[in-house]
Amino acid sequence: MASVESFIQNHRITKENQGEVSKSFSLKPGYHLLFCCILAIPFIWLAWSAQNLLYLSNQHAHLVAKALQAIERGRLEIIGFTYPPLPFLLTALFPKPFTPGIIAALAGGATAWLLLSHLIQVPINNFSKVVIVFSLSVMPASLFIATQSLGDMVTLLLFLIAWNQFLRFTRAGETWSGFVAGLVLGLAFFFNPYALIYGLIYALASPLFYHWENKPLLQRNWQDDLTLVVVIAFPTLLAFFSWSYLNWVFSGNPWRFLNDPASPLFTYMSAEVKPVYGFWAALWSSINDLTRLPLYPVIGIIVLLVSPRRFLAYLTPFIVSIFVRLFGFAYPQSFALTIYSVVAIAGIPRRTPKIWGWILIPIALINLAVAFFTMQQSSELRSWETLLIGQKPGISDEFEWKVAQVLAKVPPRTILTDDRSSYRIIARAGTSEPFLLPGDTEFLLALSAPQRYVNYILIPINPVMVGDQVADRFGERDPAGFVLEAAWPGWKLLRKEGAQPLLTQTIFGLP
Amino acid sequence: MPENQRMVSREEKRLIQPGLKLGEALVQRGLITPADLEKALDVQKRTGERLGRILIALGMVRRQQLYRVLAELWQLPFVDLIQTDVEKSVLHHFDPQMLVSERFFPFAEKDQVVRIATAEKPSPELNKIIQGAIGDKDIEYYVTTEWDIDYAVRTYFREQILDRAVFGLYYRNPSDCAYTVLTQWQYLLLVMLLIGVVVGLYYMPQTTLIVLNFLINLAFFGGILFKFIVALAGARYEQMQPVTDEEVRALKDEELPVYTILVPAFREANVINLLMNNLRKLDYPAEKLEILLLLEEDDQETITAARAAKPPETVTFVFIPKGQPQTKPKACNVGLFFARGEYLVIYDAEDRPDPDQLKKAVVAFRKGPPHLVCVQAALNYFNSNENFLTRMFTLEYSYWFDYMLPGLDALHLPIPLGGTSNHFRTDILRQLGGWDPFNVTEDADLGMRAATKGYTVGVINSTTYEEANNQLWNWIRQRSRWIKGYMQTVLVHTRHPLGLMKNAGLRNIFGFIMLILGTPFIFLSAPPLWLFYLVYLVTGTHLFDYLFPPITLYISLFNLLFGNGLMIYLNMLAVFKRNYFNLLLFALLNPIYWVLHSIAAYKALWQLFARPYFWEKTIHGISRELYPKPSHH
Repeated sequence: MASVESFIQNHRITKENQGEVSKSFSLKPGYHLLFCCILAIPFIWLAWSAQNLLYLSNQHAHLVAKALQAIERGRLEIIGFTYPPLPFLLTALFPKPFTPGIIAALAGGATAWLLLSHLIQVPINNFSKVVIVFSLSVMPASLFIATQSLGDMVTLLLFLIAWNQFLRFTRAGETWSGFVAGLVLGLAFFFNPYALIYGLIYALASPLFYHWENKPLLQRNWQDDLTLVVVIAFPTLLAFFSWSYLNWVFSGNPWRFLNDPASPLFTYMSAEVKPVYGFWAALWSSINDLTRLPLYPVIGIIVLLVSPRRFLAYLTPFIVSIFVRLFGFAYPQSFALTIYSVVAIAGIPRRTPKIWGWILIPIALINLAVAFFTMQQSSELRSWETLLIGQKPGISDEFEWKVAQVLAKVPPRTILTDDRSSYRIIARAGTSEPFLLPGDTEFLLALSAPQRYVNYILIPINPVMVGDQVADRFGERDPAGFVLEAAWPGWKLLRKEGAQPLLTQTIFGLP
Repeated sequence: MPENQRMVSREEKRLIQPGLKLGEALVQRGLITPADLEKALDVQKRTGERLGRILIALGMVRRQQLYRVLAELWQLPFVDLIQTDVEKSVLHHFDPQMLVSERFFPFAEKDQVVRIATAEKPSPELNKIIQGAIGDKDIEYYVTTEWDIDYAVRTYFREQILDRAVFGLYYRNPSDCAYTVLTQWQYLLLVMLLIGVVVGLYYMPQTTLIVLNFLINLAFFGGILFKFIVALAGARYEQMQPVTDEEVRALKDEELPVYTILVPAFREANVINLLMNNLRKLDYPAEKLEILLLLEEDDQETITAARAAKPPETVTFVFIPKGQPQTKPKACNVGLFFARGEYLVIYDAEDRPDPDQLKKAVVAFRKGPPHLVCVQAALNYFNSNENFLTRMFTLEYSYWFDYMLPGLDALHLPIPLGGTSNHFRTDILRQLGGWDPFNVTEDADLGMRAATKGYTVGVINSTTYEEANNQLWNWIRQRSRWIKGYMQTVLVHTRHPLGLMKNAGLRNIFGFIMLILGTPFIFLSAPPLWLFYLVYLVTGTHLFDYLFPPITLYISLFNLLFGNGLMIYLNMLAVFKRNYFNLLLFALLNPIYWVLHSIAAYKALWQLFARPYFWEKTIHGISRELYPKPSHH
């Protein structure tokens, strides 16, 4: 009886053991949406400008190509449950080249608004706030991610939302926020594989950050800590294992999605990222990133002085980048810099002394100078930058677009190719109908006897994506009955003897 | 016999001076001391309750002693109705409900004079009521206790009370009662559906199976989405308190109304003692409590145990006449018949409500709109750590009452009532017709009936702790009863679909479908899907591939992986509000718990047709937590 009574007493809900709702900058949801859209406008304009200059990032090209295949063929699983799935599904709503750019821009606007909302509550002067935000948002890396990298941009937005909810969960004991943080991190996995690492880090950090005074317990024990860890980690782990399971069911390989071209986890699959070998190389590579963003380490000093408990959390992106590169995975510099930018602004403590506002101004200006006057590591980012500054389409983009327009008019399933390499052409063509792709049932038959099934074969020469079946089969030797129709840097197009010439007359102007 | 509790003798009767007040008369009689009177008057000043009731509640005087003195003060003779033979011929003028509410009882008639025993001082209003029933005859008043009146009503109107308790709702509106399991058109529809499926399986087996599979998966998907939204809405308002401690403290005892507590107890001899202890802990003026212990008249064991527990004067035994169906709602209907409180609550025999629960309910009703008919307190378990079953049960209830109900409340969706700790406005409860004695989840049915009549149910931030079932078969029996009751509720309330839509509104119907219809549907549909998956997992067969065309495949994969995962995750919410962190990992074992639900669902389905009104009695008082280990010192 006594044990029952004490049990009831200990588990009775009283006002004392309910945390206070944390104070936060609050507006009606409609206003939040409005400001997100307003702040997205510059990004949308930039995405549109690049689109008009015929620029198409590799990531977006992948998404559009896959979306076109899924819609035109009516089945998701035959395209291998492409990873990450959510950027692809969002693009499938309207599979045109500018769609992922617009969505990324909206995500960029939302991220900017969340950061501004936080910065408004920091007591440094407004001019400093403007300079800091400006210097970080107009960095080429940030602009590129916000307009040309849908998966990465939404991931950053979700990380930021999860961080805000995580704080409310740990500081104010709001259960709802803990579960939302967990769900958002789980959702982030469907945009970027590194969300798995960040999700687990958030989870393991939660008992350290949790204000246990919100939950008066008789005696805190391991089950209490485990509860917090599981609540944050569960959705991420569920997402990871569910996706692995799906891959296993449909392809026999649970980790197939890790080498999906749209998610270049491995450096050998990405032209943008140079592999590093060993701890010191990984450390040096990450420090090199920091030199391009001096604001991040300086704000780190502020965090250490004003809010030391949060310093480890602040360092997390840096530690993750070393860890990931150490194991040979691809961690693009543009993604790293943008994460640092977001964390730098979100990490400025609300109790920062005003003097720091003035100190950060010159640092922000240096940041800006470094961003614009040093060479970008990524070739894709470089070419994007050059194009926007020069306001002239790149020759390769123009040519690619023209080729795609011609190929788009070809009868259905008459061009044999593998979308592992030819995704850009498919995306620019605006349709996957003319192409016979690995997801189609006749693909393997066509590989064995192309003369019976197709009129054209589009073969990548250099670079060739790992696993490109058409390149593997016909890269060295053309199949019997096919002649060279055209060749241009990176590609050759074979035509079946007797079939209608395509490119020779239209693009090359040859009879 | 103590000096102050002796009966008043005829000699002493002559000693009462006219014009004396009740308290003074009792002191004069030596039935109470001046100190007792002073104490009682203090309470009266605070609560505004009648002195007689206060004295009885404080145990200072016996009921019959009090009324004998009142008889003298009113200068009327006293009658002991228990010892008096009542002339049945005089009873037919009167409705038993009126006798209970107006507190009088006719017991004899001679020479055009009707003898009326009353527990209230005769007044012109009472005269008018009685005259309205007997016409020009004269009235001769006697004084008796209200217990005597209740006893007499129960004894001499036994059949009528039983009839009303069992068939009252049916007489009002047969459509509202589960006495009819299936109406004609429901039966026809069921048969046609079954025939349709059989014919479809015969002529177009593939198409039929695909359609069924798609519909079931779609229903699962909808259910998952619904619970996800509601649970998160409930978590969002986790820290909201519908009634604050300040509001409770601000209540003055004199403002509090009479509160009736119904406690149906059947074969609960082992917990009666605990019940009495728990009721004593309620923070409510005892003189304003009316506790009716509802005992089946053939349950001698419980009756004996109840008497042996020496309950206080505020507890009245109400013996439920024997008759089918022998169910809790029938007993509650009998209790409702005798209830005099402005508000009414049901507790089970093993319940331990928070002491301030009644006051919180009063505040909630006073703050709430006029159409608020009921407020539901949270239910939870005091023996959560006993075994796997009690842990899962505790998780389930914590999730349901701490997150789902507040979520339903926040989204203005109908709230299914729990089995106990539902607080009602008594007058509206009577208007609704009380409980359906043929429905084995009478609470869910009543909640739905209230919604169709435009009433609402709210929640209060107070908990009643109960005993979780710790035995598997006991659990399955209990759960099968609940699921059977849900099925009955669905059948009752879908008898007139157009009327339901018109009266209840789309929002209520949506909630009704998702909760009341959804629950049995999900648990009945799940096993075939589990079987498909198990066979596929073990053998790798592609035999069932044709059942999953693209859309069905995507939905079913979502349900399998993310749906189940989400439901497990949401169940983890349950640990937070009450710091049940040691239960978190048990949330991962929900799939096993769901299997038990499905077993119970099929049992319920069978019983719906074989024994629709049978009440599977849950055995209580078996938890080890109820009995502390003996000391070895």
